[in-house]
Amino acid sequence: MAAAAVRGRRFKWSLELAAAPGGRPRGAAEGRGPLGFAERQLGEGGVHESDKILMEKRCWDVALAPLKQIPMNLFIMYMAGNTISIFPAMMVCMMGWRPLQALMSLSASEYNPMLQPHAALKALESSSRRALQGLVFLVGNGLGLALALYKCQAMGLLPTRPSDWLAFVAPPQRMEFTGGGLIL
Amino acid sequence: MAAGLWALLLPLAAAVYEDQVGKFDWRQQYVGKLKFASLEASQGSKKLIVATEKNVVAALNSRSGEILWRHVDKGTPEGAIDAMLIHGQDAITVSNAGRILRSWETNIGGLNWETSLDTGSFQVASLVGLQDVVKYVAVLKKAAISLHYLSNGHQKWVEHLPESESTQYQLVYSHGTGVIHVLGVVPQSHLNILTFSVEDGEITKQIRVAAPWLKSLNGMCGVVGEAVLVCVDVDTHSLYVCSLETEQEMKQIPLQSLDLEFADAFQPRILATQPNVISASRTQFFLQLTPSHFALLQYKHGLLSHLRDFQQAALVSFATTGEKTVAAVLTCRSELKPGSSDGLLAGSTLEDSRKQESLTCSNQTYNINLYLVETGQRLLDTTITFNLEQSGAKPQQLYIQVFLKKDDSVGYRALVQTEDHMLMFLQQPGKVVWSREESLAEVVSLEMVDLPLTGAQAELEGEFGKKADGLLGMFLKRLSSQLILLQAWTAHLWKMFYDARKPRSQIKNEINIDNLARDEFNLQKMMVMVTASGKLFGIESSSGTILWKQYLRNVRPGSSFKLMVQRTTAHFPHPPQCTLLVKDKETKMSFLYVFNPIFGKRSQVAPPVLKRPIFQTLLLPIMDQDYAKVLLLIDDEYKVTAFPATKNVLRQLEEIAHTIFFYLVDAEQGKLSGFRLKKDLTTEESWEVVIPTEVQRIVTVKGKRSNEHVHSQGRVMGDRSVLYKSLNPNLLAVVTESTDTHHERTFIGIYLIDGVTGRIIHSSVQKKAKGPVHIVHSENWVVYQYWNTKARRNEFTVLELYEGTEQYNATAFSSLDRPILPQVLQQSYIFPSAISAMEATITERGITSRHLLIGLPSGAILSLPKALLDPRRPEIPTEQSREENLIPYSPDVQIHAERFINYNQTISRMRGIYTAPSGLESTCLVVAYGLDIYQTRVYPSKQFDVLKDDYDYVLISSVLFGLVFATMITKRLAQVKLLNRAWR
Repeated sequence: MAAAAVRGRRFKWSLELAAAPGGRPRGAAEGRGPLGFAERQLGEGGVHESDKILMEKRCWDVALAPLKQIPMNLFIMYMAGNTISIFPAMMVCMMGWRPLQALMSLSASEYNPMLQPHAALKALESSSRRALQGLVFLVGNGLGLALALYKCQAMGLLPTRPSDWLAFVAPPQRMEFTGGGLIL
Repeated sequence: MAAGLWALLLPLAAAVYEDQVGKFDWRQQYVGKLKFASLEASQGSKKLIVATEKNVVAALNSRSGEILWRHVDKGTPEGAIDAMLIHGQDAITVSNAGRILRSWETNIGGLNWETSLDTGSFQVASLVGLQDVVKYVAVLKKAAISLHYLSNGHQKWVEHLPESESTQYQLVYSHGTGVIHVLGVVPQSHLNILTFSVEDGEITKQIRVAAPWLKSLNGMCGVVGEAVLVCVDVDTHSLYVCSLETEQEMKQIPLQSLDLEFADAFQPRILATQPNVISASRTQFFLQLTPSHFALLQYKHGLLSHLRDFQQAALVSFATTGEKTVAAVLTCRSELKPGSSDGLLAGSTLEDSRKQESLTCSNQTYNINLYLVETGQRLLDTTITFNLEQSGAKPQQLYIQVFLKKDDSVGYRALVQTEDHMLMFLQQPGKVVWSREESLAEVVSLEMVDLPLTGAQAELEGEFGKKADGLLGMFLKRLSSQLILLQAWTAHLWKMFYDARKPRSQIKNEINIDNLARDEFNLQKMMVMVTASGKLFGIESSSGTILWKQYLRNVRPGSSFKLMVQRTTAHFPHPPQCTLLVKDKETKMSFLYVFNPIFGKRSQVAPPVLKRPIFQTLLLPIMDQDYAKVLLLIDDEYKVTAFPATKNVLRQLEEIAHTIFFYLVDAEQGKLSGFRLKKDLTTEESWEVVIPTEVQRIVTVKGKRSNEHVHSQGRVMGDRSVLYKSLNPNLLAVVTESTDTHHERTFIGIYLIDGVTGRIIHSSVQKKAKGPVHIVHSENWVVYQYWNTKARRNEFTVLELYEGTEQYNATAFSSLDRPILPQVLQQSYIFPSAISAMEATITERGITSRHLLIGLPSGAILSLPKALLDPRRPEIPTEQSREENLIPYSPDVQIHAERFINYNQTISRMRGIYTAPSGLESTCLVVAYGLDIYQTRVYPSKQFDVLKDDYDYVLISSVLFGLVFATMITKRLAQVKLLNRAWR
């Protein structure tokens, strides 16, 4: 009891040599665990619920990303103009390549599970509305690709006119032979 | 904008770099067939002065045969050189039918002076001396004689000749006595001898000598000794002599006493010599009795003596050095035979007509001997023996350069010109110092033939060409061919190693007929040249070396030639085969000469004997079993002969006869007619277009080149649609000129006619325009150049034919099924110069852009991009025309000196340009010919398929190796670093 009396007083410092009867340090006996230590077990249901919503959100983000890219692309397209030079060409390449890459990884993950799918798409797999999100992703990328194609067309990079195939036109076969000239 | 486009366009035709001069091009200069030549009479002299039938005065280096200097006059008769006289260091020439007298400094070729003379037909010119000095030159015309100072050309006096209407004055003679004798003849009546005083031109004496047997003085008479006229008369078998100064009558000396006989129908000739114009002529002279029989005679003190007889002599000549005058006689070593038919004679009719003149030396070995004229003795050790086996032509002219050696004996050199215009400079005892092939000054036809593959390449070709004979056999064959390749490769390496040790200047890559082989890009070809003299040449195109020559003896001057390549070198082991059609202008007879273009040998294949005159030929793309293309010859009865005429060919012909058409253009009657071939090789006229000759005459007819490839079938427009070209392979461009040449009424006409149907696709008449018209017809365009008489300038007009934006039939072209006429676009440009030749570049696949090669009268060849002559050039540039890279229209086409492909290697009197594709698509081979021959390469779209000459292999490879090493080192370093980190 003497110890309790001593505890009540305030000393500048004190040293208690006698060990506690339980052999445990005092602090631990009072339940002061390490930082972040919770005495009671955390409830499972509530936290899980909010995580799922977040996941869903994230999935939608991934699915909608290509669509969101489109206005930006449109703006860049407008700024780049239709002349063929290195920057517009690079831009068009990127515009075409990215959706293509995304689509390819999509197909790869579907048909061949051994392949490492796109990081963003990995998230989609766990989503419950996977089909819809996949569709949206597909549509977005498709639109991006269409935009790139349109840009190519505007720049005249697509071989859609007869002039583009002119080099492959074979000369017509000659049906008659003729010769002669001034009388020698 | 326009300036920018021009700037873009300019680098397309950059000139050569200084170190490229002579690397891909060469030029050979010629002078033509000799008319006059003069060899200095001293041993150390280095030059010989020549005047030629090509109106050239030149000095040749007598050591090497090179041209020291050369002056080329007009190619027309206006420039013709009528006489050349040599006095000391000056050469005096009379040209333009006696209108112009010129004096040349022979050392450097400068013009001393030039005077123009009065009109009047030129007869003869002669130097005139007075008291040991040659001071004047006398020019005799039909009605006047004039005397000019040699120093400045000023006229001393001019005198009219009496009775010039009836008398033909033909001879001038003087020998330093202060008088000039002028001899004229009234045929079959009398001789007029006028004596003029040199001082004032007064006629001091006029004699009339009766000579009813005399027709002409030229050749029949000569002046010997102290002004003694000697004439020969074939009817009375006698010589007539008469002193010009004293006698009034001609003395007859019968020749029977000398035992000399004339040949039938041969006009005997007298050859006298006057070594120096201030002293008397030699009393000795040659009398030519038959074409091969000469007699050396002497007339001295009223006595005629026979010094020596020369049988079998082809040519004789006099030469003088110091006091010694010698006669050089060229004889055949064996007997002369009339009209041999060995080798090259094809038509017997030709042979008959030429029998008289064709005395040929059987083994083609000739001797030249010197004889002292005073005695007729042969000088010892003066024989030159030479052989003309290769050419087979007769010597035609002989000039002798005599000099006294240190021991006072006579030495000499001889210049011999043969029938085939070859000049040979000979030295004792028969060494050919140099020779020049002057017939190349007149090339009439030219083809380039690919060189054959090397032995190893041919072996490989042969392996795949032959039929298979078992697995093992094929394997062994493959092994053997690989072995051959290995051998060739080691030989090549060895040669490289061997050459590397020698200094660079000593390495000569001499090309001869044995090591001829195609290079990897087929840039080296064999040029087969046909010359007007009837001599054929095989010239290696990269160096200009003449590898073979062949003289066709029975070709008369003025014949027309057509050279065709029947089989190329692509059909190993069959040798390549060229066929030359020669048609005589007078007799109209033709013959075929078939030969191997690589070795120049006559082919074993017997050509058909052509009994009728041949009008035209047609080389078909079909081949016989030996891969020779079939040649069709149409004769004056419009019957067709096929060559080769094997069964296989006739069967093929029967099959495709309905697709073969001929067109013949008769310029005299102004008639173009088309013929259809029938199965029995007769023809049937299918169309005829008559262009009335009263108004206009047909000048040129140009079809397209058969070996031309057009890669692009259309042109891309600014809106990316296609404008299809109208590529009618049967299209002819016919140019006519008006007969009325008044500058207000003159015109030229252009007709584009389909050669199969005769349909006139386009016709236009250009008023106030005059020829000569130069025309190029290629792909879907025609470019022609003419003189605009109203604006007084040269103009180009370009016509382009398009089908439109739709092709009627993309797979087959038939002239018989063309319902829509092509659209014709046209544009004209001003060109600042006249032109002398024009041709378009041609390449293997036709991808490279086309250039026009324009030969200018200055001798330069201008390479003009066809894009400058494009009728679609807009007057006001639009967005679309810019998209198409069309240059805005500007009427004048400029001549930029950097577009000259031959820098300063000008080509005199250019007559034609020949272009041939090489194995490289970017490269086109060009040969320009005229008096000179020039060969080069052009790259119309630059060398896009070749690394540049100055490509830095060292830098690139060192950078590459450096990078490889750097990656290896950094890889190692990275590994070490990773390992260290792992240990930490």
